[in-house]
Amino acid sequence: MRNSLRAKTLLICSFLLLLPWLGYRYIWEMEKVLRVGQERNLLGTAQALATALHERPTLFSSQPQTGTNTQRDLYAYRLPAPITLDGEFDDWLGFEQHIKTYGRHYVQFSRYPYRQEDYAFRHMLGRHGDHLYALFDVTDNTLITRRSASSRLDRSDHLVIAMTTPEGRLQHYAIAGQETGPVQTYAVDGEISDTAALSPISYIQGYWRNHQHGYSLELQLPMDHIGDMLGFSWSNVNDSFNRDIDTVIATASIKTATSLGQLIAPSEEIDRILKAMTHSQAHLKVIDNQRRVLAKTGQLNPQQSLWSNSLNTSDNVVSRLLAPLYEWLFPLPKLDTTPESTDDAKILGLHVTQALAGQPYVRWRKSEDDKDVIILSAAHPVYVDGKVVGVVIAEETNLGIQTLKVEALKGLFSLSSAIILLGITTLLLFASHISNRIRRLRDNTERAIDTQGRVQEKITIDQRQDEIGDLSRGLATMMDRLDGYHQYLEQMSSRLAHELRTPVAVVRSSLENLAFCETEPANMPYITRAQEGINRLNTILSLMTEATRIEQSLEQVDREQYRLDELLDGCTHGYSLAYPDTQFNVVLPEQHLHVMGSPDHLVQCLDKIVSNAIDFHVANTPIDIRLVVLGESAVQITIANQGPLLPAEMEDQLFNSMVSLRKKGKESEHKAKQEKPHLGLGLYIARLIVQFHKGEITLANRSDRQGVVVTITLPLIAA
Amino acid sequence: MKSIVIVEDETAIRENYIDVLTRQGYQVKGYANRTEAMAGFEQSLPDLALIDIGLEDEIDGGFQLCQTLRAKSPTLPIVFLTARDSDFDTVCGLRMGADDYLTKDISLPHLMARIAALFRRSEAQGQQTDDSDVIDRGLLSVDKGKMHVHWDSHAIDLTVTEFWMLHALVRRPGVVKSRQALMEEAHVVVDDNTITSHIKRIRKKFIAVDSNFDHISTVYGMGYRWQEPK
Repeated sequence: MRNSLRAKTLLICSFLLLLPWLGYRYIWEMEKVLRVGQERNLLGTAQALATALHERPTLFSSQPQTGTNTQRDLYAYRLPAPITLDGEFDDWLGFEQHIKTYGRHYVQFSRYPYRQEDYAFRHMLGRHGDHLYALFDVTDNTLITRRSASSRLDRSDHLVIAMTTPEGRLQHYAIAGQETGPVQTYAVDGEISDTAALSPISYIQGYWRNHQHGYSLELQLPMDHIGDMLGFSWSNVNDSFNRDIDTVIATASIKTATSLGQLIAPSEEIDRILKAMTHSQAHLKVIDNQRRVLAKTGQLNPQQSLWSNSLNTSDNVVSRLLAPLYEWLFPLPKLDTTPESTDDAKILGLHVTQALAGQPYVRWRKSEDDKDVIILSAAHPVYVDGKVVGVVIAEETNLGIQTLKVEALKGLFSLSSAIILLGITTLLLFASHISNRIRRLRDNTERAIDTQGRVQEKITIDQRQDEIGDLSRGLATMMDRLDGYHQYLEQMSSRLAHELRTPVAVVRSSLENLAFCETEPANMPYITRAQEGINRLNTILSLMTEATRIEQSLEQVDREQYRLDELLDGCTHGYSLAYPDTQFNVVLPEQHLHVMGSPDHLVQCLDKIVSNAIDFHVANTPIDIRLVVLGESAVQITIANQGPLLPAEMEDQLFNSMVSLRKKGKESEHKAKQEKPHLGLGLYIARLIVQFHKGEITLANRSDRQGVVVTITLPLIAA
Repeated sequence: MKSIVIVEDETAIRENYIDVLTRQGYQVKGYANRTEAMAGFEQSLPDLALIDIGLEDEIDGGFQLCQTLRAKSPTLPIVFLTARDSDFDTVCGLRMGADDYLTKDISLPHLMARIAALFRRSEAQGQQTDDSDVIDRGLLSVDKGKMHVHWDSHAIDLTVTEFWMLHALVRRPGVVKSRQALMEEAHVVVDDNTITSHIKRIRKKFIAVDSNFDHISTVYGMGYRWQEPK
């Protein structure tokens, strides 16, 4: 492809494609800024909550600070509704993942090698209002119930509940295995085997349900009876005769208060404080220094994000049409489920560690559901007496930012596409316009001057006031000057002749006067020679004006119709008489050929060419003159001679005035002295005459390279 | 003694012409510009005026002078002798009533011959015809002595150059005269094209009195000849 203006413009246009890239970079930077903003914001939220919790020892002091054995600790999950005590699991739906299995590692005693398939239980705690709910699902293929006659509880499968009272005293309760139905709980004040120590109580209620691989038990315990420590111990009896305990599995050793596990329950007080923050967009958690969740609120729900609400997405036909394209180009991360799979009993992570060390910290982590969604967690420590007692964790997804980003990308895409399209179209149109104008100017310029360098037509001036207009005006001026100069050159000979004529006349008349007066015969030859010279000079002057004269007379002459064949016939007869030493081969057609023009001038033209041909022809070779009809509308005269070839580059120039190939020296050697001097005007005049006839004249070497042929093509008219 | 006035701004030429014409026995006066010439003509009219067209700063001063002279005398022979040789100037000059239009490259003997011929013609106008020099070709009669040409008893007003050309053709009817030959007969040094336009003018002058005139024929490639009327 040629390096046209249009192609170059397209190349330049391609820089427009940088626009979307720049926009994308900008949006990317914006996203970074927004992220930092979101970090600050979220940390601010966390800090605000932490500020509300600082220096309130009561909120955290109820939680023992000493415990490190989290295996024993029991975590009470916040239940959305109170549990119906029926031994069914349906109330606990949604918490299945928190049910913990107590098996091999929790075996306190086993008479035989322990097999988890035979005996284990699953358990979880929940809290609603003032009540603590416990669920047990015991795997046991032999249910040994309490004998109805016996008052002993430990001679059957039984559960022992150990807790510290709010005052810190260790208190045991026991429930014996039974058939499906509500249970009776006994407070054990002493040894469980001592029936006197057992006293039935009603504030711990429960429901026992047997099923095919064991039994389940739901318990309801009042919070105000429970201190910090809690433990459950299940004893299994397999032999209904001796009723010895075979296996004991417990959440912790229930022998002493300190060996029990801590009960960690979401704090109601913190909850209330947290409630004040529910209108925050963040998902908030308060954990203690054991990384256990004390309270939490909010959701990582992107649909309620402040970000997306703040966007006014336009809804029109174009955007609806483009919507599928945009969805494909810029997919928005989907986040249907709340990505909250971490156990509330134990919040891990660097941010917590840092916060526990007293350092507010923000971290980004990838969601497990959708890798594009990033969850931002900000952790801020809560201080009591200068010690970190807990951590506030605020979490948010970057979905809002993503939404903003996608919206921005859509906008950017639409806008930059429009700009690029518009820009490229405009630039292309502009370039086409410019290049068309330049091309027109070029064609115009090419047409303006013919191969002989003559100005043929004026350049059409581009009127517009810009550089191309200036160029065309400049070229037009140049053409005018060139034309003027050309005319000056062509008239040069006649002007020169005119100017020389007067001094020549002076010399001539003086010489003639001298000739009249001269008496000394010895001087006469010089005077005669000078007069001869003057005569030749005169002839030259006449020839010099001839071309101009022809031009002037052609301007005045009327065109007439005449027979070309007849004219050529007459001419050739004339030539035979005028040049008796030369042979002419003449070929003329039979038909009558009519042309329009001036016969006298055409004869002059032919005279010049034939005279030229004779001057250059090799002696004793014929001159070929042919008249050939070219189709209906043109006729061709060719005059060919054998002789020296034309120099290649001279062919066109020979038709210009004052250009001649004749060698002066050679001419004067063997041509007669009185012959006309040559000025190289013959072919110039011939061309003028042929142009007057609306024809063309060319001069070329013969195809057989033997000489030169002149071809005159004239338009024919119908007779 | 015939008196001649030369109006010519080029001193050298003027003096040369004055010298040679004086030597030939004419009484010659020279003027360099139109104003001087007009003043001279106010006193007395010469027998013949030789006028250049461009006179000092007046490029067409000669033409004006010619018009003024012709107004003073319709018969006074006026000859333009100038360096300007374009068809336009020639036609202009002749239309203004000049009897001949010569370019400065004419030689002095030719010039004197022209002047003599013009004097002869003006003298002959009042005198009886001397038959010896008359050529008759049908309707045409050419009186070489008076330089008069008649066609079917209509006088044809030719300039001296035209007269000599016609004379050359008529003298040997049917014989082709080349342009070169015509040039020599008319004592002019001009190019071929000028000969062609002279012939055209002669034809036109005949056609003006006889629209069927076609006795001067072009022989392509050779020249012209006088065709005897059939």
